[in-house]
Amino acid sequence: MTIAQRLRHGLPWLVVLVLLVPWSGPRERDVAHGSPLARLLGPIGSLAASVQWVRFDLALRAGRTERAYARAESALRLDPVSPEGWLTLGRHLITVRGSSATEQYDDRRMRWMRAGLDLLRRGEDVTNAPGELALAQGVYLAFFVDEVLAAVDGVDRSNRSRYLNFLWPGGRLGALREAIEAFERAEAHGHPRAHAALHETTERAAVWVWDRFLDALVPRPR
Amino acid sequence: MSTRGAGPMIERGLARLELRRTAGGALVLLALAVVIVASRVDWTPSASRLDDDVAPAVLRGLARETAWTAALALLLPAIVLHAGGIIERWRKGEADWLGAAPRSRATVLVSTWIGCSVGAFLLMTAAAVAVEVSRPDADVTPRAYASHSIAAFHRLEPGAGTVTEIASPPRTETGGWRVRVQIIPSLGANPTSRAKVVVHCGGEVRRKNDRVVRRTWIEVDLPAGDDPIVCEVRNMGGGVLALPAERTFELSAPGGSERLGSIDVLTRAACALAAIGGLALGFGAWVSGATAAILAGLVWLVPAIWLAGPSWWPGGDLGRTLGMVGEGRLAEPLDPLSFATTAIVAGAGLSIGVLGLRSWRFPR
Repeated sequence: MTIAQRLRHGLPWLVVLVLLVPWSGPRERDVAHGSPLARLLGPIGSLAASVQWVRFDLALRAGRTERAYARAESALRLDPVSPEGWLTLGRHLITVRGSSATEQYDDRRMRWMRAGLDLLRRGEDVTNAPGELALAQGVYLAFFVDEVLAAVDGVDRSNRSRYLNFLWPGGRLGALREAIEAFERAEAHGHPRAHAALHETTERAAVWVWDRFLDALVPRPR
Repeated sequence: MSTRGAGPMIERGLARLELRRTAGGALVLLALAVVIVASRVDWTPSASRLDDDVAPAVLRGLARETAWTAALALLLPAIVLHAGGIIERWRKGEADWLGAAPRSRATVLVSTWIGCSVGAFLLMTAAAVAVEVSRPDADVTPRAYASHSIAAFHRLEPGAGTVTEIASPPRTETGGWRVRVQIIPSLGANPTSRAKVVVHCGGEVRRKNDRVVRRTWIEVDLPAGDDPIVCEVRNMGGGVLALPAERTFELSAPGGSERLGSIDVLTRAACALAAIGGLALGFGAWVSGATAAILAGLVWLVPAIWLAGPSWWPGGDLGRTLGMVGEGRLAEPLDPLSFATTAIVAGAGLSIGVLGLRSWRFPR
């Protein structure tokens, strides 16, 4: 066998050996911008993503959350443009994993809610309906996050402010401020309901600040 | 071509030739390359990193299962297609030297099948190495030894309980045996509840309780011995729970390293490939290579699905094994009967091939 023939025989195995070198793609970027496979699949990608969302639901029913999240992330990689996928996973992380039925401890609930909100924020940059995702963030911050913080705020304890800050940077006001920013982004993207939501949340934040000011002036009887 | 008389059943030269062709085929190597790339990617979903309830072993198992699923999805069809097209390739030019030597058709087919099966085993081994090399961490994990199903889906209202007796394989003195119960929340009252599992075995009583938010497995240690196990499950909370019918209770013992999961998948896949390869090789004497491969796949798949993945069918429990690897656990030990059925299925396929090789050439 000549050297050229030996090289031809061995070349496929050489390629295989080279591929053993550690390789892993930048996965966060893949989820945000769509993997090369998604770009290759084109319109079939959204169909494949739909199949993955069904499998996501089946895995959740089987109690295999890690498998469900893997399928959800692959669905988002296959079709990052559609807002439904981001909203589905974000809603699950915030309202299911972040609910009191699932998590007993407030700090863990906040962690899940933060994960869901961060996911929606990443989706806002790539989807074709960023206003929807921004509005969803505002709603979850103004109601779900604020509900948990309000329950903690209502309990008379010595380290209440520090605990609220621990749960969420800035406490209730911080959450409402983030909600206002989200509604402003939704309004900038042209969402029709964003203005009303922004107005209402700004009023709530002002009322909360005023209440705190009055409490500082005239402490409530214990 | 006439049949030749007595001679060795296996010709090593032919087996080696087919081994090189199976392990060195361009399509197969491309599939292996994709498997290696897939094994290097970190498949851990970012949301799962926040989940304290998910053990690191489960995340490692999920990554292992993903890599193996890609490997099987790519390599199995590639190898079966290769096996189905062997006789078609012979008839296109190699029949002259194959038929000229003093060997029977059975010898040619058996030797070729052995070479193809060993080549497939080597490729699966390469895939297993690729999967494990990229996973530096591996811990000791339990292996399932038996499962027990109940007659039907059983609801547990708040305060209700149920008692089930489970037959157990002999449990060694070294201990570490556990029984785990599958419990799910059901419709009605609160969305979650609390379940208590009490196990009576050999005069000892072991208890464990846990909150049930989604499908949950509650594990209780067992003492060593052969005594039957009586398992009581009680709903201690305000929600409704239920016991699913399939594999409600599972017995497990320390099984060794998580890496043995890849060995479990490898051995089952090798049995499946040997069986399907034999069928595809035999069918290839009658139909085209692609048709032979599809027919062989169907003949293997239909009983596997119809009989709900029996362990005695070659590769019949491959899906269940992969699922358990994905949970970071080890499946039941390979059923020795599967080797016999592999030989029977492959033998049936090769017999069909012998009948089809009455002519080494295509009919004119």
